[in-house]
Amino acid sequence: MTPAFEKVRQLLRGLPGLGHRSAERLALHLLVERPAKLAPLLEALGAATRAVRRCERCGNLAESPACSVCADSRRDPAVLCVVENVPDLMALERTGVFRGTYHVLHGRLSPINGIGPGELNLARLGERLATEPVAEVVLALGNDIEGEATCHYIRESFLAGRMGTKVTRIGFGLPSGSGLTFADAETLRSSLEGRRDVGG
Amino acid sequence: MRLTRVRAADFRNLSFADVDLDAPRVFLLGPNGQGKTNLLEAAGLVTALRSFRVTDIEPLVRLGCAEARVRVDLDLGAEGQACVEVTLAKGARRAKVDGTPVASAAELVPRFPTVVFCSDDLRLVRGSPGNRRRWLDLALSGTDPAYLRDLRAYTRALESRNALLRSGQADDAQLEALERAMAEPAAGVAAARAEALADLAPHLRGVCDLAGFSGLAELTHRADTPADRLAEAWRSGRRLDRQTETTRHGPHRDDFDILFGGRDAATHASEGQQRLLVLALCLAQLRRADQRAATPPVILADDVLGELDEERRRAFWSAIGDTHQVVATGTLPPPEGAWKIIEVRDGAYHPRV
Ligand SMILES: [Zn+2]
Repeated sequence: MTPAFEKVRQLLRGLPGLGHRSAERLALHLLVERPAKLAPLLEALGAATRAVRRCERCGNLAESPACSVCADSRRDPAVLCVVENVPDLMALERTGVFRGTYHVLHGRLSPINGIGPGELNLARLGERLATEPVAEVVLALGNDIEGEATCHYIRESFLAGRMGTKVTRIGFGLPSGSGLTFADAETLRSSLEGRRDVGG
Repeated sequence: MRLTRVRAADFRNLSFADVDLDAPRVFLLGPNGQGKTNLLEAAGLVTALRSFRVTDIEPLVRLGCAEARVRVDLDLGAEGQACVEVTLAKGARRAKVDGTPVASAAELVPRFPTVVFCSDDLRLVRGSPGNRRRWLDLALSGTDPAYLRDLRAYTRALESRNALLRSGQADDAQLEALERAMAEPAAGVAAARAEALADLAPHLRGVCDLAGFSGLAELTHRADTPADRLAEAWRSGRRLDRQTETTRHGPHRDDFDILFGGRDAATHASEGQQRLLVLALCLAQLRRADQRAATPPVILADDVLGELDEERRRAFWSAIGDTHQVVATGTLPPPEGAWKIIEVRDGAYHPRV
């Protein structure tokens, strides 16, 4: 191992989903085995760094102030689906049945990992609920303890006493502890269609 | 069900082990600290991906290794063979059955039942409430998938609430959200414990009768706070919980009473009676597990008989009968009977021929 290689390996290891073996494999692949792949990758990363940002309204991935969902005038602003992250949003989009808009929290309440309300995209959610004509909030968060606690928090903090807004929950029937991302499209479609009313 | 072969890599201090267990009764024999219990612990993962010694994964992975791997081959009688592969890494337990990943550990519970008798059990009567809770948790995790799910969820919730209390940012809104999420698994855990103890009591009396034990044994669940009052206890306890940085109420503070002849066995039974009472509890646990499992559970007995005399040891093994495979450890050779003996030294396993 050389010092420069070690530095790259360390940085890769800090990325989600990469253990030390896969970080090492990736670093070797890009730096030694297939260096030709590196230049286009660096260029794409550079371009993306300049172009990709959060949608100002919902937090989704975007290349302009509004993401593709928010820019689509056929999407129904009356139904707002709260998700934990962008991959969950993409998983729900793949089902093709949801026609409302999203709100991406970029995480969930997790005291064990030091994630509190201030770390999540919650203030913007409050603003949207105050200004947009939302008739139903779909809480599409994982059904483990942290997902449940995040749902309770949103209901208590933003939806309590809000007349005329239906609150529904999906995440039921999915393997316990796993996020929406790991559920197949058919499972997600049926949980969306069978979403249950959990009151305001 | 029978365990036929256990392989472990980077598990505890074992770099690699491959042990043939294909016999109705297997005895891992050797001095303490040689690796007998490690192998038993590895085998026990098939039921719920849970160690009978520790709750964390970290101590199970060999120092300096990214993950521990355990592979257990099983003979399921009429249903053929199965192979359970377990991978333990920091923060993750995964399993495959015959190459197919399982979604949750609870799925394994009814398929690959084991019952663990462990040397810690000897502290059951006189030990702390924590000893009794651990015993009950382990017994129920091996028989009730719903209990395993509730217990894991509750434990995670409790760790979350305590982390929040320690962070100094524990506002009412966040505590309220967590407490609401905790309520359901907490109620599930408490109800299952009370029910299991009520289930165990007649089995325990049956075993005591057989052993000619005079005096009626009873078990009663003692909840720290009744489930329907937990939400209120958490809410009104927040101020003090913030000061102590810990959750002072909930099923993690439950205990149960072991009564013998109507009185607390810890103070009113002799030391000899207490030891026999613990063995009777193990047998009662086995009878309850038998009633709930589709296939006779494998018994994993970790040095449970201690220094008991030969006659008592023989009586214990014969009380178990011959419908279960037994994999036991001990420092003294087992009493006569058809045991496959494996000598364990320095993490190496040598079948005695
Ligand atoms: Zn958007």
